[in-house]
Amino acid sequence: MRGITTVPDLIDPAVVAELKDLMAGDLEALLQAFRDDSQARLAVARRSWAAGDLAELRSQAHSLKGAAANLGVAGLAAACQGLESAARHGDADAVSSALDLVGELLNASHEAFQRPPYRDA
Amino acid sequence: MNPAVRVLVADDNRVDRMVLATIVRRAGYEVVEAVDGNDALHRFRESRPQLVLLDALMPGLDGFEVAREIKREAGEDLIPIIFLTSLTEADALARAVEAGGDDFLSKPYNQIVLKAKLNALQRMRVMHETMQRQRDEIGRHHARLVQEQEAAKAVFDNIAHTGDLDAPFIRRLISPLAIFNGDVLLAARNPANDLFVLLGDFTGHGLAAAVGAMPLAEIFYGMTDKGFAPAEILREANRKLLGIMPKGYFCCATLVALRFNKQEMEFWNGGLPPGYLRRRGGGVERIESLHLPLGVLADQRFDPATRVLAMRPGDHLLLGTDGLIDARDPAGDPFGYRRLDALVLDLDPAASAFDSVQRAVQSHIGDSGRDDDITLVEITMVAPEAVPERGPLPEGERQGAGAEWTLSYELGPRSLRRGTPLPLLQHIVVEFPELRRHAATIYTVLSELYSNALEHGVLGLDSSRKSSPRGFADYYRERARALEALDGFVRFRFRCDIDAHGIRLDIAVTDSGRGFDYQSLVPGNGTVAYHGRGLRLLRSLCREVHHRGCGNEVEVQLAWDHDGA
Repeated sequence: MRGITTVPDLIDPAVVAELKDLMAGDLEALLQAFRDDSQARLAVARRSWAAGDLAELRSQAHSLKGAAANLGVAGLAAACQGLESAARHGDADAVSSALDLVGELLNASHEAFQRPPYRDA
Repeated sequence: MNPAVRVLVADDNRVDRMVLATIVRRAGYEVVEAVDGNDALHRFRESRPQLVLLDALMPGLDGFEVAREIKREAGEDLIPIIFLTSLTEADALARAVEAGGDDFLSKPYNQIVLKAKLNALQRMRVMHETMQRQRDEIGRHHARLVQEQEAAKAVFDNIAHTGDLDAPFIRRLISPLAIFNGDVLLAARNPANDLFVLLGDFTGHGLAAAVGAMPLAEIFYGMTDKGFAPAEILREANRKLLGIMPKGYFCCATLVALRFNKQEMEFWNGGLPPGYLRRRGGGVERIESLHLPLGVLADQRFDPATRVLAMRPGDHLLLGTDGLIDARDPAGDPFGYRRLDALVLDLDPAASAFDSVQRAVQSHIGDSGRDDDITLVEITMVAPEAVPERGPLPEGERQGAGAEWTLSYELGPRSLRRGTPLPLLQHIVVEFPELRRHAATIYTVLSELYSNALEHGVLGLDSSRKSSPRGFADYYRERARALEALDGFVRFRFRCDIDAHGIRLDIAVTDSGRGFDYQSLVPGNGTVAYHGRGLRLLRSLCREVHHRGCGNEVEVQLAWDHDGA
C-alpha cells in the first residue's frame, strides 16, 4: 500500500508520558471519551463516504487526526491524515483503503490503551 | 498568576478540548469551554474572557468567523486569540492571521509551549490595558484642563467683558485666548467719561496666569466706575495681587487715564515695555516704566504716582506687552527693544504706528510662527465732543417718592492727602434713583469743583502754568510736593430737593485757600487754554455758577425736570 512505510509507530511514548503527567487521575476519563468519540466519528465517516459527502468525510478525518495526535497514537493520526488527503483528491481506491486502515488502527489503539505506556505494567 | 484571567477554550472535539482545558487550568487560568462556533460567541459575550483559544475548523460558525466577531466586539480592548490548527496548512494560517489571530498552536498540544504562549499574550494584554488606561487618563486630564480653561475664560469674560475696548479711539491686537498667555487688556469709562485703559502681563502661562486677571479686572472696572483715581486703583490692585498671588508671580502693567475734557493723560507703567506717545504733527516721546510691577512691593513701599501729559486731538499712545519684544523669528532671534524703538521713533508721522509695528513683528516671525502671544494697543486722543456718551447707569427699581436732604462734608489735611472723596460722594448721590441718570454730569461737576478747590484753593497752584508742556510737568511735580505739606480743608455742602416736578441739587464748595479775583472773570470770554477749561465746563453743565467770599467759595446749581429736560 502506498505510503504505508512512512507511517510511524502506532504509539509516540513521549507524547503519552506527557499526557499521563498532565491528566493524572483524569486519564481514564479522557481515554473513554476518545473511545466513544472516535467510534462515532468513524461511523459518520463511513456513512459520508457511502453518501458521497467528501467534505464531511474530510472533516471527520481531520477531527479524529487531532484527537489521535493529542493521545499519542501517532500511527492513527498519520492514517487519518492519509484519509483526509485521499478525500481531498477524491481518489476512491485510496479513500477506501485509508478508511479500512483507520478502522484497524483505531481498534489497535483501543487495545493499546489497556497496556503500557498508557497503563502501568 | 492572576486567578481572574479567564480563557475561552473553543473546540468541537471533546478529547482535544479536555486536554487543552487541563493544560490551561494547570497554567493557572480560569477556563470557559465552548463546544462549537456559536457556543464560543455565546460564551464570549457571557463571560468576557481575556484570552481565546479557537479551533479553526468547527461545525456551524468556523473559527475564522468567530475570531472576526470577537475582535469586532472587543473594539479597542486587546483580546488575544490563539488558533488551534496545524502549522502545515498554509492557507488556513493565512486566513487565521487575516481574521485577527495572534498566535497558533498545533496538535499534539505541548503544555510547555502553550503555557509560554498564554503567558506571553497575557503580558501583552496587560501592557495594552495599561497603555489604554494611561491614554484614557491623559485624555481625561486634557479634557478636564480644556474644560477648566473654558470655565475660567467664561468667568473671566464675564468679569473682564470688552468694556469700552470697542470705542472708536482704541485699536487693539490681542488673542481671544491671551488670558492664558497672561495678557489682559481692560478699558472702561469713569463717571466723568474719562477713558481708563489697563494693559497687564502676568508672569507665567495657563491658569496660573489667568487667575490673577480676575481680581485685577474686578478692581479696575469697579473702581473706575465709581470714579476712583488711577493711583487708588493701582494701590488697590497691587495690594490685592500681592495678597493672593504666590511668591514670584506678579503683573507688569500700564494704566492710562485719558481725560478728554482736560485733554490730558495720566500714565503709570510698572514693568511693561515703554509706551510711545506720538504727536499728531510729528515727535515721539517714549514713556518708560518707572515702577515695579503690580504685586511685588508691600503697600507702604508701593508708588502709584502717575505722570500727567498734555495731549491734543490726534495724538496717539502705543502700548504693547513683552510678547512683542520676545516675538522670535525662525532662527530664534527676538524682535527686541531696539527694533521696536527704531521703528516707532523713525516712523513717518503720517503712518500708523499700530499697523507698522504689527506688520514688522509679523514679518519678523515669518509664516510658521505663532503670533497669538502678541498684544498691541493704540489709544487716540479726541476732542471732548467726539467722545460718545457713556451708557446711562441702570435706573433704580422704582421712582423715588421724592427726597429732601442736606449734607455737609469737610475734608481735613489727612483726608485731602489720602485721595479723592469723589467715589464716596458719588455713591451717596446715585443712591437716589432720580439722580442716577444724571450721575455722569454730577460726577464731572464734583470732580471739577474738587480739583479747583484743592489745587488752586488749598494748594495755591497757578493753573496758567499748565499752558506750556514744560510748565505742565512742573505743575504736577509741584502739586505732589504741595500735597505732602498741605494744611487746610475743603468743605462740600449739598442741598437736594426732589419733588413731583423735578430735581434741584445745590453744591457749595468752600476751601481754606486765599481765593481769587472772580469779579474780573467775564462769562463766555475765557481764552481757550487748558487752564480755562474747568470753569467753562462747569458753566456748560450747571444752571448757575456763583463765586462768593474772597473767591474761596463756589456754589453751583443743577436742575432737571423729571421728563429728562
